[in-house]
Amino acid sequence: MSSDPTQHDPHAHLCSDHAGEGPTVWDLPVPHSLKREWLELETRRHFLGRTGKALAWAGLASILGRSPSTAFAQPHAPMSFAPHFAPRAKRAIYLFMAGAPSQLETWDYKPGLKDMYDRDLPESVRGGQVLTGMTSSQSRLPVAPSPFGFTQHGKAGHWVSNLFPYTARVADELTVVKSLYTEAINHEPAILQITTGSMFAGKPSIGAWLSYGLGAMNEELPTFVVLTSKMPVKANVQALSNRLWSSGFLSPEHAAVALRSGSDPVLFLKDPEGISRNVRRAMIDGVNAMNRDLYESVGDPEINARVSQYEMAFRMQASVPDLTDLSREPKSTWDLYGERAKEPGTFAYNCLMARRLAERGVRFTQIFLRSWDTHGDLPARIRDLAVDSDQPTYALIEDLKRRGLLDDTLVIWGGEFGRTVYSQGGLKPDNFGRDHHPRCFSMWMAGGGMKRGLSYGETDDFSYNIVKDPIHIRDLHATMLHQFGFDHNRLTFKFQGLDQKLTGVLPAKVIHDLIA
Amino acid sequence: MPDTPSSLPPGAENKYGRPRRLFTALLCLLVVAGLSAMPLLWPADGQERSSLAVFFGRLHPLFLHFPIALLAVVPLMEIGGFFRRGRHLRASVGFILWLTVAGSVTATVLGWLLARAGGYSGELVNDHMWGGSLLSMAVLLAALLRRQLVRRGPGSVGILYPVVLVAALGLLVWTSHQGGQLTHGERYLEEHMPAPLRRWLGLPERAKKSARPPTADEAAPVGAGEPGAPVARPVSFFDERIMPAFDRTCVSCHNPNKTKGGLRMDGYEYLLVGGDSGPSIEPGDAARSELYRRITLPHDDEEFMPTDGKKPLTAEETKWIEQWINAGASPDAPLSELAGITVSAVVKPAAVALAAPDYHPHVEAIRAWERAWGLRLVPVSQVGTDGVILRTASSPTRCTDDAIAALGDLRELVVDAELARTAVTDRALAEIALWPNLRRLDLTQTAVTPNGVVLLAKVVGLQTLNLTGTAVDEPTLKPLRSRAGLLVYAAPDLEKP
Repeated sequence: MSSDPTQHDPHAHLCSDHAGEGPTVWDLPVPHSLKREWLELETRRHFLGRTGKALAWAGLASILGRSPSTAFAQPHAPMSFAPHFAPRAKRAIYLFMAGAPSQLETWDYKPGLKDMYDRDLPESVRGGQVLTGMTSSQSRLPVAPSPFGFTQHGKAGHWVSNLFPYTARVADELTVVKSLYTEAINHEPAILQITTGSMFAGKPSIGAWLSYGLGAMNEELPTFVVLTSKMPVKANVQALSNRLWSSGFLSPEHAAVALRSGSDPVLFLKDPEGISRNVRRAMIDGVNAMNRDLYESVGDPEINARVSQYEMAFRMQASVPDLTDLSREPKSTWDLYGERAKEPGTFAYNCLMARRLAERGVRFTQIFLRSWDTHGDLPARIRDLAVDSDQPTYALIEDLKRRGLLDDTLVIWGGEFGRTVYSQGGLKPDNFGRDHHPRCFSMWMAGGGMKRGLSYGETDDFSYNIVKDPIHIRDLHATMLHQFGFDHNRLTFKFQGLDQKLTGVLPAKVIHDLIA
Repeated sequence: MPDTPSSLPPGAENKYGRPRRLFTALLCLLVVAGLSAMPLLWPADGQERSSLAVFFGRLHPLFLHFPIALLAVVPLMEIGGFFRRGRHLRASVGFILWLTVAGSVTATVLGWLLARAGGYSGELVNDHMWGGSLLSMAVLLAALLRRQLVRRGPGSVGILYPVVLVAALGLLVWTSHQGGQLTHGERYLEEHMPAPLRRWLGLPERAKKSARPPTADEAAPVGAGEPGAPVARPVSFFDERIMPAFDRTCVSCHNPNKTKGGLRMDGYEYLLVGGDSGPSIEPGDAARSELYRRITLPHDDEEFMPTDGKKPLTAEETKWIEQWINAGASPDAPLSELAGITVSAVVKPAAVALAAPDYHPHVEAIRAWERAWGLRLVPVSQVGTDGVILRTASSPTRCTDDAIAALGDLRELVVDAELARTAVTDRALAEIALWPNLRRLDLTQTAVTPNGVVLLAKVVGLQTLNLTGTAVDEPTLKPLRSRAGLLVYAAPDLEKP
């Protein structure tokens, strides 16, 4: 865009391409002075936009009951509102198992299915449910019992799949929920719903809401970080996109910074050879000054967000190398997480990184591990995934516990929906697949003031319908926000005429039984 | 007052002037007499009278804003009239002023109808009535003075006109404020007033309606070196749950000034006395309690409370009231004794017992300390007594022993000190040992030694102590580890130096 009128080339109207940005005021065949005048005029849209934002801020302040005290956040952290009541958790680590791990192989033990092998799923259980296009054409729906054994662990006596021998060691730390449900039947809407509370793209994700509500603990690092993991098996991989960790209608600084899974977690972070820190500082000051001028003239608040992103990037130049320097980790770390943790981008490495982020005060770290979408060849694939993720998961819990961080760090493990008890495609005792199943799925949480060792909710003998204590994703979100000191009905942002909130417009409830 | 005929220069009036002036004078006198008679002879006495009168009376809140706005405009126009470009405004002031007189008198009469017939009583109502009457008189006087001023020139009334106008404005503020108090409750303006403004006005510190637990000062003498666990008085269920709900929902119409249905709800004893329909509560039997019946009727029922579209009690509050009445409706049964009552985690008794002093009055000191040291003191929550967190994560090395010492009296507010990887030493621990409300202390990877850590035994409320990666040995920790309610983390060197 040719936005600097003084430097403008008077012949610019001959070329209206402007690097693909489209025509501007300068392209019009009218006198130069008139163009300048137009540019200085504030358009109605600018005015309305800015006034709207200002009103939203004022409204927000009153909605959140922002008392004078909370204003004592420093100027560069203006969003640091205090929670509504004393929180139990300061930070969260969400181990997101994208693709939906089968609850039947992991946390929902159904011993009775052994006798049901290859029998048809009773119609009374299915209750006329419409199936996905992937299995609706199957002539029959044969029950597939899990080939993996389950053992009881810890004082709590959780039944843990033998796929997770390491996680079983910290069974007493876990709050296992077997009665989650969702309406979404396919990955993209389901993942969106669980990460942002809505099946439609464009809403802020959980981490963005927390960043908006709580502000940063450490201003040298982003409040919300996403880590994507290398996959042990690559089949039916679901695409990840930044809409899963976007800030939606909240200010862009609340979006996650996604650290790359390669050896360079943030590209172009290092200054080029010969550029000193002072030069970089001067450059950013210059860019910011220009951005502020632009803000003065057009009043778009997104420009301020850009300024703060430059500042954050500059601070990350100093903080990220320290974050990713694992050379000072002692041997005990590698014993705990395994040697795989030395390879950047593995799930193990990401778990270690999550602990390092938690130590440094990052509010929300979300690790994505994909390819749990086991429509076929389930036993072999889920075994590979478990081998890849079990030890690091255990290591993360154990490490946080040792360092006294687990009390106020909420750890969450789970996918976006469950999987069917019947086999998709051919059924052999040790080879079958499972289709998507939104009516029930399992998750677990640890730390952050949750009730340790609790097993919550029950499904029927087929792990098909919930028979006790159903929890919708909204309720899970309400409960998470509660642990961070927020009434989910009052953590809102006015947008498109609605006081938007993570839990949406349908009623949601905090599950107090899950809370210690 | 209206000009008397004798003061008029000859020929200044037409031939109808005399009777017309007389008529005006009489009319004005009548209005003044009426305005004084209303509060004098027929004050608000709590009786309910003709419903037609109430119907007109209820137009009072609708009507009164017109004269307020008009009166506020008058001085602005007068001031504007001094300037050349605003001269045209002068021509309209008289009209507006007379309009104000009409509006003001009407509003006062309507207000009187409402108070007299609508069952109001008390000092505030009658003061408000006097306010309205005096205001109307003042406006009338101002209008007459201005007429005189226009007809006879500026010398005729001296500075009387501006003085009366200013007095009318003063009365306006006083009267409207009373009206606001009547509608929204007496503390409406103060309730959310920032602490500095409140102090400046000489108002008392924000009063807690509940039986507040002793503050840290009372419970744990600072630095007195007497490690006695803070003793909290039991918090009564009525004060903590029931009364706040009444305050929000009921008291604005059931108070000494506005006693709808003869019922007051601004204190426990009035519930037993009740109102026109008898006692409000029947201890031990919610179903037979008038109050409970009224709040559980369908919302469109004529007898449902609160009326007039005010925000009803929440389901949770209704439940509390039911359980409280059924449990005997005691004014001081402690929170904990009413077992089975669903208590949301928001107000856990344990959290109340260890409350830090409210941080709100200390915001200036907090800001100054933050600026001086580049560190943060962030509120735990919006609840003032939840305390503040000493936060150092952005730049741990700035947190030195001196920064800790410089906290001064702010130490009482700190409930959570995040000192991991900071530069603090045993010297800081000597200070921290005197922090009365500290519950969580993180000293991960700091240079503290056993000599400093033993001092922490004095911090009686400490719940979590993190000494991960410090040079503190197990023998030192033994007494701390055996303390009930205290978690100690002290994994050895977890990071290579």
